[in-house]
Parts: sequence; C-alpha cells; structure tokens
Amino acid sequence: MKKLLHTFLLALAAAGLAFGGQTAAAQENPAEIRLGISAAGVGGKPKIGGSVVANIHLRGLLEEEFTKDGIKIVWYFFPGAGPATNEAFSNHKVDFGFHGDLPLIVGRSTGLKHKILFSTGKGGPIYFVVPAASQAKTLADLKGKTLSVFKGTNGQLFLARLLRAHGLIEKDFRIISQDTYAARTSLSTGDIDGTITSPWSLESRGVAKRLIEIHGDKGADGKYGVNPISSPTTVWVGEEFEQKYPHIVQRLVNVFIKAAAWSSEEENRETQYKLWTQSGSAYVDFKNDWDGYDLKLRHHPLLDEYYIARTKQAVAESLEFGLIRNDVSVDDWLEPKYLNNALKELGLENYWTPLDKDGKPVR
Amino acid sequence: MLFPHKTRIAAAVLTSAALFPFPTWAADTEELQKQIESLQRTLGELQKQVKTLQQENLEKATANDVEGVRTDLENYKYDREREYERKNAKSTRDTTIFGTVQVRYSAQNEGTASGNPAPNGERYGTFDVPTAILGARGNLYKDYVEGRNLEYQLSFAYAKRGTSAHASNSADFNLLDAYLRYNLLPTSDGLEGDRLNVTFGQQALPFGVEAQSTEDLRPTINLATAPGQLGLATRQNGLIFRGDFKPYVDYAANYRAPLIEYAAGVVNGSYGNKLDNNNGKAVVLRGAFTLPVPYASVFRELKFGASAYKGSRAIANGVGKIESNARQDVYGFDIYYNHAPFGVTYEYYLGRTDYAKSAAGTDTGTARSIGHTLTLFYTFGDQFFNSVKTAAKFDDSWPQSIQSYYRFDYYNPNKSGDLYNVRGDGYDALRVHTLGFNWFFAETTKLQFGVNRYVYDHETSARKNYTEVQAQLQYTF
Repeated sequence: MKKLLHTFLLALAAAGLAFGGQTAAAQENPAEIRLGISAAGVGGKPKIGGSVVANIHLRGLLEEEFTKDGIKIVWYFFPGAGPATNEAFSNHKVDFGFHGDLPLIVGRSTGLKHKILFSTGKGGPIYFVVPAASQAKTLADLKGKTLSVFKGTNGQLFLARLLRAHGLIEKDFRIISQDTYAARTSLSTGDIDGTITSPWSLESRGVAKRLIEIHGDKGADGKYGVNPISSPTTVWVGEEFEQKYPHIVQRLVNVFIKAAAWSSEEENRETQYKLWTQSGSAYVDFKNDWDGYDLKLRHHPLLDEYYIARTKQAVAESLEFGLIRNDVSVDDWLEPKYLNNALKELGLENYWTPLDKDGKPVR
Repeated sequence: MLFPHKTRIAAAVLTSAALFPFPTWAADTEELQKQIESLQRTLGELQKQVKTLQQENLEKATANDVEGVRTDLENYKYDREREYERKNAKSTRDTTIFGTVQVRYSAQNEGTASGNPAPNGERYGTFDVPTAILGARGNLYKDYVEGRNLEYQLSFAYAKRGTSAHASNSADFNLLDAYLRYNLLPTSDGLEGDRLNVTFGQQALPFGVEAQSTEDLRPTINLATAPGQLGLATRQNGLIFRGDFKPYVDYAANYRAPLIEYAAGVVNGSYGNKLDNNNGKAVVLRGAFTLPVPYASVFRELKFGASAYKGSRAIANGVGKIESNARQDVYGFDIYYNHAPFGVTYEYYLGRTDYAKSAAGTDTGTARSIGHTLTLFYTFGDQFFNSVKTAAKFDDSWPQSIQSYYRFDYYNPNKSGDLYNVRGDGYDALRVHTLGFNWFFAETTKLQFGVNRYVYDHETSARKNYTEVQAQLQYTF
C-alpha cells in the first residue's frame, strides 16, 4: 500500500512538472500570431496579390515557420482596408498589420501603439481612371464633378497629392467615399466621374479609360522622388506583442525579409504574377502593373532615408489636408533592429540599395 | 522514277568534274562550302523562329478556343435567363425580404394562468413563439448622385388573438412598420456629412435607447418594463424628422460620432393599429450628444440623450368618456456607453398620465410614473467588431460570441395617490433583476438565456414574487 502511495505521489509530481513545463513553454510563445492585412481579393476573397505579403501568404511561409511550434497563424484580410485594420488593432484583435501610409498615420495620431518593422515596397503605378465616354482631357476638366475615394485609406492621400500637383483641391470636386469595388462599379455605370483604381479589367470591358498614368515613385511632373503620388507600404507590430515576444517578432521578420529577397529575384517574376491571380485579379493586370519595374525596388524593405522622408512628408500632408488632428513623430516610431538582424542573419546586408531622401541610390 | 535521287547527284558531280579542270573545281568547292555553312546558319535561325512561333501559337487562343468560350457563354446566358424567368422572385422596385423569429421556452416557480384560454389551470412552463416578423424594405427612388433616396418598409408581426379568442387557436398578423422615408440631405458624401430624413407612416418612436431598437437588436429577452408600460415601444402613425450634425469622424477606424443627434415629430398618440381617439396629436422630441473623441479613446460611443413625448388622449371613468384631451406625457434621460467588449446603458423615465379619479366622478388626476433601467454588458468574442465580422472568408464562418449581461429594471406606475383603476403610492412598483447571455453562433442567429427575478414592492397572495427562466432562439434573415 505504501509503495502504491509512493508511486502515486511520484506520478503526481511528474505530472505537475510536466504541466508546469508546459505552462512555462506556453508563456514563451503566443498561441497564435494574428495578422491584419488592409486588403482583400476580388469580391472579398481572403487572398491578395501584388506584394511580398501576398507571396508569404500564398506560399504558406509563416505557417511553415511557426506551426512546428504549435503557433497558429491567423490571417485577417479586411475589405474595409486600412481603417478596418486599425479598428481590429484598437480592440486587440491583431498583432501585426500591413498598411498604406494614411491609415497608419491616422491610427498613430489617435493613439494606437505600434512599431514600424519594415517596408513592403516602394513605387507602384497610379492610374486616374474616368468613364469611357468621358470628354475630360485633364483633371481640371472634371471640376465640379463627382470623384470617388475610399476615405481613410492611402488612396485618399494619393488623390489629394494628385489634385495638388494639378493646382486643384478636394473642394473643387464633389468627393464621395466608396470602397474599391463600389467605386469600380460606379465608374462603369457612369455614376462617378473619376477615381484612382486599376484600369485594366475596366478597359478590357470598354467601360473606362485612363486619364492620368504615373509610374514609379514619381511626381505628377514625371520627376522621380519629387513630390511622388504613391508611397511606401509598411508592416508594423503592436508594442505589447513586441515587448512580450521579441523572438517571435524576429522570426517573423526573418521570414518576410527572406521572402522579399525571393520576390526581388527576376527569375521569380512570372511565378509571382501567377500566384497573385489567386486574388481574383487577372494575370495581365499584374503584368501591366509590374513589367518593366525593378523588383528589388518594388519589394524594397529598408527603412532608409527615403522611407523616413516619405513618411514624414505623408504626416505633414495629412495635417495639411486636415486628415489628422495631432502631429505624429516618425523617428521614435521605427524599430529597425529586427530588420537589421534579419538582413545580417540572412546575409542580405548589401542586397537592397538604400535610397536617399529623394529616392536616389546612396551607393 | 527512272534514277534514284542519290544516283542523280553522283552523275551531276561526275559531269561537273569532267567539264571543269581541277583547280577551278577546288575553288568552287570552297565557295560551295561557304554557301552550305551560310545555308545551315539560315536553317538554324529559321528552325529557332519556327520553334518560337510554335510556342507562341500554343499560348494563343485559336478559332476553336474562341468558339468553345462562345458556346459556354451562350449556355451560361441561356441558363441565367431561364433561371431568372422561372425561379427568381421579382419586384417592381429594389426589395429586400427580411424577417425575425423568436422561439422560446420559459418556466417560473410560481404558477400563472395569465393569457390561458378558459377553462384553464395554472401553468409553470410553456413553449411560445413571441415574435414572428416578415417584411420587405427597399427604395422607391434611388439618387445615384447624392443619395437622397426615397425608401420604404412594410412589415407584419404575428400576434396571438386577445384572451377572449384564445380558444379559437387563431392569430393576427398585425402591421408593424409601414412607412416611406426620404433623405433630405445627401447620404453619399461619406462620413463627414450631416444627415436628415423624414419618415411618414407607422414607425418606432425616437425615444430613449430601448424603445428605438428593433426587435432583432434588443439584447435582453424581455423589454424593459417602463417603455412597455408607457407605450413608448409601440409603433405609432405620424411624421418624424431624424437627423444629426457635426459628426466627429475618425478615419483611423471609419468611426463616425455625430456631435448632436435629434428627432422631432408628430404622431397620433393612439398606437399604430388604431385610429386616433381624439383630435390631439402627440409631439415627440429627442436630442443626444456624443463625445467627440477618436475610436481608440476609452470614451468612444459615450452618448447622453434626452427625450420627451407630449401627448393627449381621451379618458373615461366607469360610466363613459370624461375628457377628450387628457395628458399623456413621458420624459426621459439616457446614457449609452458601448466600448466593446463592455457596455453600459441607463434610462430614466418619468411619466405623467391623466386618469379618472373615480368610477363615477368627472374629476381627473395625474399618475406619476417612474422607471429606471440599467444594463451592463460584457462580450466574449468578436461579434461587435466590424473589421473581424466583415473580414474576407471563403466559408460561412462568423465570429462566435457570448454577450453576458445584467439588467436592473424598476418601474413604479404611480407614485401619486390612487386613481380609478390605478393604484397609487407605489403599490404596483416592480423590480426585475435579470442575469443572462446571448450566444451568437451564426451570422444572424443567437441563443438567448435569461433568469429574471420579479420582486414586487407590495407582494400579495395573488401576486407573489417569482423567478423565471427563459431560453430563446432568435434568427433573422
């Protein structure tokens, strides 16, 4: 009986140790990593294209990295775009976010606490599209007409910059807020007179045409890096998560940077286009938007002088256009150590060329 | 063929050798060699081009491919037209069919015969369908440019017949909302624009918080006592303007908080499915102020409101009508704070309603009614986060949530002295404590559970304090 009791107590102690061990392990790693992506595929598909983020999701790279440790990867693709990501983060529903500049800045200005980890790309094309029957030859011809923009997203800043470059302001038009797909439908039915959107499938249906086309991080005058219309995209981490799980943040950044290098290789261009069609956009759309671009620039992850200058400029513009009420400090917002570690660990320190504040390579 | 190909070539070579001396022949051989090499290069180039063209042709659609797509497209069009013709419901205007159904079981520790058809015994538990609503809504005119749309709603609600008819096992399908609504200000200008609409017809009253919420959105199984007893939760026929101005917009989360919301209107004052019983109309007014703070602020969705309903009605004593325009007023104050996952609402009601003082006299008196309703919420899950709720997904997944709540509900129908058929001095005052939860397990379906403790200020042998348990499934479509 005594032996039986002894064995029982030993078993209990072992179970306790095992349980304690599990608890300790659970404290080290989160049960899940939740990513808020400010975009969704055509018709609200939970898949996107046109970015490193898309490549990581579609190739299952985060799952490959973390599921072996029992960490679940939860992807949220928000048709509500950047504002939806902010809403989710405000309510502690996501740990990492993928944002364009305006919602990132507006969120920060209202008190959201996150750290910028790296950029996911710089310089894509911008198209201002009008109905096929439009007689407009310039933006000024649309004065007094209805333009659509998804307010709160980076598209709002794109439009404001584009109007300013043409000596116009929002008040010269009737601006309405629509999400991407509502705007495209309205464009095809002629209910709006212009919007910034991808023109390809609309043009192939004969319902819309490009009025303005700007490639790269160029301004409306065609000069690279001088008052550009588009802006870098960003991945951030919530401060609370970053402080609690720095090793997980590092592993995640490593995956992203490795994928950014893969995505920057010319030999993977076609593979990416094909992967991205899972979002519902056509292969030819990506081909039109990406052919001729240096993939290393489009997938450029560095928080270089150019990124900082563009973000500071976006903050200033947000204040100027009345899109934020409080100023945002950029310098203490960046947390480049994870990016730098990843570049070092992956031997990619010289892979991407940093850009100066005007977008020129610095070496 | 007389000579084979190789024999003819050999003959030609021999003939050439016989006709030309050797040195000339050697020079020509070199020339021929160059020509052969040149031809080989040309052939190689041509072969490459042929290969490229073949590869390109593989990627190009052929006439057969186009024909195939055309056939599929025609099949698809035919199928769509046939389906539309034979299997689709049609409407002259944009229409959404909707409905709300509640199925319930409730049990209580004190027996009751309330509502039982005669002959009857007491019941302690019963199955019930307390709500079944079917309706349609849509627009009658759509303003694509500014969104000044003309909208409509028509819906009906099932209701049991009155007590006298219970034995017939019949039910009514009463009108519950029948109105036109016109947006006087644009609605397509984003979050920053002011709003103003006017609604004409049978509609809910803009009073407080609970009376305005539709059947499918009420968090608790039972309606709070005061709005029910004071008639505020009943539809009325009339004309009501509703609007807001100076919205605080936080584009960080597309959050819109109108600084001031207002409503003003005139209704019959006699409930929706009755004709007016006098010439007096009731005026309803409401104003609410929401704190202008960003979405991330702890004070988001903190709203203070005040409402007034000033009406008149005909009243009778035990003999007949004694007054055509007696007072029927209600004033209210409310606080609404919804900061998911937690929330608080509080409503205060003050009613002043005239009654006959006695069965035979013509004097009237005023019953002073008081009501308080406090509700505390805490939600586990993502039901109330738009971002998560609308996240892209392939399947029919929905964030499952459990909304737990506690409600304290107090109603004193008459703090003043006794009136005809209305006991005074708080004799009928009632307190209801409710603890419950709503389990949202599908997009529009929830399981509701609540335990209600009814405590009367004056308990009698015919009216005992009791505890009720309710379980209800509610779905909307």
